[in-house]
Amino acid sequence: MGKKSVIPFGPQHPVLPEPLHLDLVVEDEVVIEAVPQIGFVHRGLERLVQTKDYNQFIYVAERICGICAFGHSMGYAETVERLMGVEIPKRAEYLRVIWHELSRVHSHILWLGLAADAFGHEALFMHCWRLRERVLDLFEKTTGGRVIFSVVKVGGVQRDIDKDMFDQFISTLEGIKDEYKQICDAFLTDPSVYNRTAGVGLIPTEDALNLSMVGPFARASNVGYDVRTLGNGAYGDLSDFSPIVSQNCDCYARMEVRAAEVPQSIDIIEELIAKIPAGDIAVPVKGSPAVDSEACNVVEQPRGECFYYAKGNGTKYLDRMRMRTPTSQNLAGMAVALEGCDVADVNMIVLTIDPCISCTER
Amino acid sequence: MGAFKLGKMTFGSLFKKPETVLYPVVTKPQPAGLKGHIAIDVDDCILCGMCDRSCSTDCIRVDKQARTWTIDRLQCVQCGYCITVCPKKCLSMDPNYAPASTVHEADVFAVPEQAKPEKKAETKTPEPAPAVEKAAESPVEQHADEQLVALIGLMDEEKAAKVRSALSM
Amino acid sequence: MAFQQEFVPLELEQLHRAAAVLKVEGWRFIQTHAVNTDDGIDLYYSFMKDGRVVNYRVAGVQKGQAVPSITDLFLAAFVFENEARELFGVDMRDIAIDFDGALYAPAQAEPMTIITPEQKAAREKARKAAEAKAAKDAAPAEAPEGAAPAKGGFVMTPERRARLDAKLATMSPEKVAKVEAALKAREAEAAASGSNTASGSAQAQASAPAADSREATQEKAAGATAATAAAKDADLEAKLATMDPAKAAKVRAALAGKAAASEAAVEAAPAAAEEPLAERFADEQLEALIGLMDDEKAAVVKKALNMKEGK
Repeated sequence: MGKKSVIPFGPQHPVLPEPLHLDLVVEDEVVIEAVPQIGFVHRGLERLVQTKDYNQFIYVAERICGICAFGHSMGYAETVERLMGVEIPKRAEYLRVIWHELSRVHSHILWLGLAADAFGHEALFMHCWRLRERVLDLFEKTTGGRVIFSVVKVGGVQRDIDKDMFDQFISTLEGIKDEYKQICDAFLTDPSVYNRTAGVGLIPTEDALNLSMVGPFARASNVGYDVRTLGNGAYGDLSDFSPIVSQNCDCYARMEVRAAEVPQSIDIIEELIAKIPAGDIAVPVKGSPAVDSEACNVVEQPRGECFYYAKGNGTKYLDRMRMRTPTSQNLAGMAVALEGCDVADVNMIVLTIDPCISCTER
Repeated sequence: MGAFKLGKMTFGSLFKKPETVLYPVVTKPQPAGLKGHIAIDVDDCILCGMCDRSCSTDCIRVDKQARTWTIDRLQCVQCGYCITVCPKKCLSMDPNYAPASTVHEADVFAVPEQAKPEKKAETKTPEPAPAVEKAAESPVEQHADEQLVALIGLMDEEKAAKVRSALSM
Repeated sequence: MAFQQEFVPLELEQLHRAAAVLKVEGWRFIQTHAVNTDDGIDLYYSFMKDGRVVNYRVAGVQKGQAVPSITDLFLAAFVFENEARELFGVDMRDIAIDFDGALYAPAQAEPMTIITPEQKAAREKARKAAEAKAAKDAAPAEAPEGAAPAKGGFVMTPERRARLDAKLATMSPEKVAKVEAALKAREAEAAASGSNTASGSAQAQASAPAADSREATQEKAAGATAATAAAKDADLEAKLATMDPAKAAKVRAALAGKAAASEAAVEAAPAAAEEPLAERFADEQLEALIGLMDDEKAAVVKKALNMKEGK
């Protein structure tokens, strides 16, 4: 029986660029309790919605997080459209999903690079970011921005993508797919990576359900929940979609799931490009949300399900906007996963959960 | 095993073209739709102030008295909302980034006086409608109704829709 | 599995019990959030099952009113409950991971409950506009059927038709066809708006026939619930046969209680076709559900419930 001590972890930590603080209660180098602490970058965006009109707020919504920027603007727009009963054109739905999946590709590649960096695998980090750069170039060419796109609006999208650009999409993505496969092979078959992550940070399926976990974190614990299976928007037109799950429930499983989701997203993009219908990309939206009208929405972001709620009050300003981001839901799961692990494994577990604290604190 | 696989990739890149460009010497070509900075065509601007009111960061100021259009480049986030609301489409997104500056100051554009007749010509465009509207408004008895319907029937569809909406108003 | 959203009201006293029932039924907790309203804070608890998102709304929570935490059942709620307490001043009790006001540590207490005068004025204006619009819409609905509606109403009376026919006789055939088409469109429009106003007036005045039809649907609903209940009974009997006797007896007793309760409920107010919420979260139902669970799970839920009620 050793002495209990508390080790602070973060908010500034080499493996994690996110301002997450953990109080690790440690006994003999084993974590017996982990208390997450956030609140370092709280910006009160849910309050800001009351002073920006519903069209302006879309540009605020996408600034919640730099990686899920597109997901947030899309989720917000869909919620307001549901609130006001707006039906958007099919082409706009397709374009939104194509961009959204593209942001998933870049998010997962970025994550893999960070994970490699945390392992001390600098070369792999460079390769990952080199691939990610190509995705960002696609964004830059089609939306005009690399991180913040400002391309979604309530009622559709602001820019169209033409045939030549789609061809460029496909050739670029095929190139990424090929190289990404090589990188994943190198990384996931590496014995040092395997030994470091297999069996670490176990969360059994039952616990994952009890803790209502979402995203790749839950899917690695064999919970087959993915918002994309609900078929919102263009996801409903996919010929075949089944979430990627793993039975192993550990850190290695989380890596595998994320690695497998990139080719899946590329397949989705290619299928939608082949199927995209011609037509308008936006419908005009007039008026304001009705008094006491309410709507909610879920979107599968790179880190999991994001929930949106909006309430109108008859003015062009929303009464309440709620964005429940995937990481805030997974904090409980993270606290549980950290219980009983070695101090040296804490950063591996936190990294494979891939928390986005900026999202959480809106 | 893994190390060898990646080694192949790393070794291969010795013989490939570099992914990066030699920056100050070579610059990356800007894609056409890049969000650089907001540009204004002052000749078309009518100083309506829509961009001022819709700007989510309050970086645009429209002064009707002084006839100026002012933008604070450091505050602007290039969202492009002002471009979508501009009724005269005189705002546009220039693909070149705003140059770096050592002082925080706003760009001021003087908007020249508009030539008057141009404005009038624009308001005059819907010509033939008033005649019908007059017929609609004239307080004749029930007779007017059928006449009107007959008239609407004679019009082309677009016009008919217009008149109908005017009537129901 | 398509996305569906629902908003369901819930009493504060039922909150923890409802969470227990939903947990047993296998609903996934999504989130909790608060909304500031004129009559207090509304708390929303969202749950999802098979693409169906149900938002339970606990309306009008007053300052100082204790709200039980559901973190003993859904640990993931701890962030949101701390948030509701800090930003809205809701008195949350027994949160599993309690930050005690240090989650965001806002500079100002309860920042989300502040409404600036400008916001208030804008909202009042919008509300008044909406009311005025509603009044305007209601006005033609109350007018008797025969009279010409005030707005957009074109009624083709026989004498008008006759006069028009006379006029048409002098026109060229294409023109006649055009006028005829226009007339038809107009008539269809008028008919549609007529039926709208009719249904509007029926709703506004709650006239006798409407009430009758509602009674009829209530009867129908009651019949439907009876039928499903019978089916359920048969199902349960089959299940009970496979259980050990002691457990079966327990479940039977619970079910008898539930049947009595639901009969009473049906007689009192057979409102919705769906199971009424109060009944769903009632004691007997919960007992029956717990009876059907495996022992380990049942123990957890029972413990959580007892703790809350101080048994």
